[in-house]
Amino acid sequence: MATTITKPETLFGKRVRRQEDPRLITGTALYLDDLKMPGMHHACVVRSPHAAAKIRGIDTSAARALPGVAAIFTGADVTGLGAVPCAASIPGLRVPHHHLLAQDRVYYVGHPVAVVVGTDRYIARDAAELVEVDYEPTAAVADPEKALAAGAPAVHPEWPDNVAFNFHQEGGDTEEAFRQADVVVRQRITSQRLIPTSIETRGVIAEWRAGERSLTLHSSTQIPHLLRTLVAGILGMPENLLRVITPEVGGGFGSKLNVYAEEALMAYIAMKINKPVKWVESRRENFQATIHGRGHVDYFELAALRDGTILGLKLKLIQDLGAYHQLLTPVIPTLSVLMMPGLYRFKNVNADVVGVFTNCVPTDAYRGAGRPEATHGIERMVDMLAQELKMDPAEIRLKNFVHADEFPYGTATGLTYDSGDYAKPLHKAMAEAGYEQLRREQAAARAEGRLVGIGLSTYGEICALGPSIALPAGGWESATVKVEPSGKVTVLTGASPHGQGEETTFAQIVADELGVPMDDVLVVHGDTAVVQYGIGTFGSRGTAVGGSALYYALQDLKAKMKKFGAMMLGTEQVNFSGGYCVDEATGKSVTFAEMAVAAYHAKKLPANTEPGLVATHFWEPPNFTFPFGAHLVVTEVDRETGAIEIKRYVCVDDIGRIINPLIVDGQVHGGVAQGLGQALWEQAVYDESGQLVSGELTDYALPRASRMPWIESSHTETPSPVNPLGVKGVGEAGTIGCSPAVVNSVVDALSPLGVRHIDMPLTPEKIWKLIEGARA
Amino acid sequence: MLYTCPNRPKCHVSRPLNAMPISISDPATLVFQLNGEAVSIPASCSPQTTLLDFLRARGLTGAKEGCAEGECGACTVVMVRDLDGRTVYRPVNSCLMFLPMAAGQEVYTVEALAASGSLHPVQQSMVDHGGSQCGYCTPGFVMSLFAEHYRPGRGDGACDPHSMGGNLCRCTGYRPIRDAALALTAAPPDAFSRRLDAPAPPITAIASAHFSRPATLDDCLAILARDPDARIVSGGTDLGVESNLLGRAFPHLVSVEAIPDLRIFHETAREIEIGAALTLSEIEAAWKTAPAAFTEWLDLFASPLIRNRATLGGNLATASPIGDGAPFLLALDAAVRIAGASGTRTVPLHEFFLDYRKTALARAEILVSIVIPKPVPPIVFYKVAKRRLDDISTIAAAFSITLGAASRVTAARLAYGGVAPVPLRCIQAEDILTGSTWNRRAVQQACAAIAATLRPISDHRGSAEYRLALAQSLLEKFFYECSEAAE
Repeated sequence: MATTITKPETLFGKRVRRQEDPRLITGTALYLDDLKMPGMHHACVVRSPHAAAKIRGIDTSAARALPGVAAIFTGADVTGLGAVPCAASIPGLRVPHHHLLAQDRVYYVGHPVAVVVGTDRYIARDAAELVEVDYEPTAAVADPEKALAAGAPAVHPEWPDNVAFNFHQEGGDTEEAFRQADVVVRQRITSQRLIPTSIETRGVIAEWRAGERSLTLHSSTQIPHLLRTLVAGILGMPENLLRVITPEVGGGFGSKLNVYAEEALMAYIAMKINKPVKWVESRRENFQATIHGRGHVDYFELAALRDGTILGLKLKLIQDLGAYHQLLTPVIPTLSVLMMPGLYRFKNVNADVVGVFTNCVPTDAYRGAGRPEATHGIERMVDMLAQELKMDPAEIRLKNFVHADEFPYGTATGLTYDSGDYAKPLHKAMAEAGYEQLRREQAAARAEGRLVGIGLSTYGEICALGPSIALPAGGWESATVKVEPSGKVTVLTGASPHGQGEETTFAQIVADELGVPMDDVLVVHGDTAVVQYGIGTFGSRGTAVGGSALYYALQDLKAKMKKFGAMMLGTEQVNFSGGYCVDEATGKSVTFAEMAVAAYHAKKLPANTEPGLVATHFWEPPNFTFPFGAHLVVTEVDRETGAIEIKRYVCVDDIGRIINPLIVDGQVHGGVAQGLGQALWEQAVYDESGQLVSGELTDYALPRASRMPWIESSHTETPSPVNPLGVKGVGEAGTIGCSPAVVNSVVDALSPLGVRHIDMPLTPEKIWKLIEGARA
Repeated sequence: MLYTCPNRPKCHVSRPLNAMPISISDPATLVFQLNGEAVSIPASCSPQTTLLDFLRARGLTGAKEGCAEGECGACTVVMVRDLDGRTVYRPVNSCLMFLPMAAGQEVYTVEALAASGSLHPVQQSMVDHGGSQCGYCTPGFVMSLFAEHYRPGRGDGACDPHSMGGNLCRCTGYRPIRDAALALTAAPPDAFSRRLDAPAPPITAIASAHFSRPATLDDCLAILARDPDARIVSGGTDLGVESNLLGRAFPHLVSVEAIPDLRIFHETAREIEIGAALTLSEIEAAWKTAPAAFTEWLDLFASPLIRNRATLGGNLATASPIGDGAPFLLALDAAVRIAGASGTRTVPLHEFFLDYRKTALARAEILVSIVIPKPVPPIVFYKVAKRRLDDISTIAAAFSITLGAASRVTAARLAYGGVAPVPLRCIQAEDILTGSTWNRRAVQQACAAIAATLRPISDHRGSAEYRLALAQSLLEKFFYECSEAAE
């Protein structure tokens, strides 16, 4: 037994290299398309080329005649199965029955019509070409405002107004606030449709074991357990005979936080043909048939006093839902409403949301999910108010922030902000950017006729989703910690990371709590047969909720280990520290490994204690967390072409305590890249007839390395009181903070020309037209 | 829509794996070196099978399909190639390589890098800087950076992050990947370094019914004359996309990669002749006296991965109205040499493009080389696109103005892409400038001629109005930049 013990340095806050990397960097990690099963068949989905059409008939005879074609399924085969699920529960919500395959109509380009199964993927694709679908095209509508207009084509004939739901929320007395106002600014602001574009597309392998009546579904998903429950429901099979395994997942950004028709279809087909069947989405299918994000048209009205005090906000929010509800489609705009007060103190909010059907692929959660739209709106409106009152945009923000001594702070939308000091990151960003000097340089540049802008956004977000009361399917998370007899540690987490690095972050937490080397910790996730029920990874919840569940499981485990330690040392009181149990009175100790052996050999047990060292904790968070921050962007616009150059990008994000700065930096940089993508380049464009014009990577402009500005990123750290780790969540912060800062900057650059607002993306042509318009 | 239809009614991929086997007479010609081991291309596989599919079918999971159109780079592998007399690693998109193109060649995938059991310095640097998140794009970045790491003449300093310009990442925002490149120093004196001391494998001839790689121009012309279905291919960066995304079948692919006449680079006192089958990277290495605008033009043209396979001949022969190659060459007064059964003819480039995707090439003719007369005049190239680099242009323009005494314009070339069904020169505007004094007034008159003659159309990349205005404002921009430079 050791006699001298040095407490190891804690890993919390350390820039630790990722445990995941060796397998990723060598190409040996196994993603969905890397998996092969004996006898595996391949599926190809026949999709609608029309945005709206009646199906007069489907002729599969030519496809069936192709050697190697095993089976073809059409709408008629799946009529009796359950629908693609929607978890929203908005009163009066109209929910079209979302069959796994189109029945007598198609509703968007990419709508699945049939599935062809062949012995290899080339045969399946060739045969899919041979499926003849007789379509009778009908009128389509792709724009949500046009869909609301009288006489618009009905997406679903049973609901000619195209309205899926109306949702109203208010707090305070907005009418009174607007009566008291000296000034009201109004603006229509859009958040365009975006395509999430994980570099790995979706994919599914279903494997049926007829003898066991069991089915294994491998899917590139963010939510393995929810997927299991919901697919079992669609198929009417016992949930405990369905196993979902998530292989390595190549990015999700919300697009894999869903249950898709193809997942249930492959499960069904595997049972029908009694062979494993694989389907991997092509990039074009990914653009046409995986959920899109955003799709807002928002009408804002902001009321204020002449001194800049904001009194209230009115919003009419039009959400483009697409043709169907996917898992959370109608929920997303309600998150926007919750976030509408931003970081500001005003208590009067009145919001009307209308969810609109269009002949487009459904929208749903994409990085930020409702919060970027709200933040973009409020941060644009605050800038417009500053412009109206000729105030500095920093000054007007500082004037309206919730004060640091007001937390927990109840908002007009019913949230309780956990902790914050909103002025701090703004002051820090301004200091790092040299705000005053920048303004002087801007004045000099303007005198030369150059178009230089400085833009701010001070954003808040709702993270660590979240309390179960606020989520459709439970907002807790689970963790199991097992100390194996050899002293190695296995963690089973209900979170399902797919790039967030939680195998590393969680191992850091375990190493700190148990005093074992990080390399002794294995974090297992994404297999419903191995891991206890969990919710998944989305909404910046992996570490804040999943990590907290792990923390509490570790406390339970430590308590049990202490019982063994005390028994082994023959004492009542021991301390557990640095991987040892120590009898402080005698200085004697037992090692972690010795306790592990004792717990499993169980020759002698402490009173009222079972053998083994396993602890499981399901943790229900008492609240969301509310990260915040300030982004400051300097831009210059080319008068001749309308091209925008980002000259400085400074961001200060307060995401609570930071466990691993390497991983946090990556989340901030990646988030900002996606925010820049929305602000400047990306847009899912449907034409009048509902064709997806931006249907390939050549036409959907993802951020490339050469276009990324140098990001000057730093942090303030305000711990969250909501969870024991004090963390808030970082997955979406960069995206939310970025787009309004960029647009505010460009509007500032063009403000000498009388420009007040520009909708995203800020394409050179759009900017050029504004410049030309001012010349005319 | 601009001359192309991004939404074809049917969009399924069709690679007839078993329909048209290569059916080669001499299987030995279908062997290549993969990670240091000789592997055979099965004679039963289709010539349109991609190198990527072949690798993955062998269980090499590192290279991945992210788009099948050469946009994302998740499929990047490296080939050992000769570049201007030096042996180099060249990263390429394996999704756009038809498998027989690899025959006789030497290919390395990410699996070769850590074969010894420890991470390669390039991989270690990526790990140290957090260059990987979801990991899907990572092996592609690693292979692009690997090739850069061993680039001869790079020296001991940092690697150039631009070498990874053909790789897309959706997670990291690229910063840690850039940091990983900048932290690297000299390549280790390992087996990968030593490999570059020996010559690159030659490009060998292949003869078969469905994929041919003739060794001489005469053989090539004979095949073209004999087989009306023969389709010329070089790097495959265009046909690969057609095959993967449009499901187009090519009954007989004829690769021109092995024909010496198409791979020349000759510079004489009178002209520069560039073989049609030289890749853009090879031209960059060979053309040591190129105008400064050439390097920038290359960057704007395509990503490094595409430039390692795409050829100037291919870019011209496909006659894309928005291709970036044509305007640059039009402004240089280039001509093309065309070979056919009856001999060789030279066609000025501005007479080469007849209509949308239609050129002066007759059946069974082949583009042999591009000829640029000397002296090469000063030239500028502009491109406006959403992302500028490696993106489809809204409009591309190349201008060359030669001034004589008293700032009198002795020659003017104003060439555009994206303003008409074919790349073209605005001869009316050129005529106005020629003989005039190079001043604001002449430029304004030229702009009026541009406005009166060009007829661009509207699509999702830009409206007709914007394109027409850009065609003029880019000329104005050029004038002001000249004036500033003169000051």
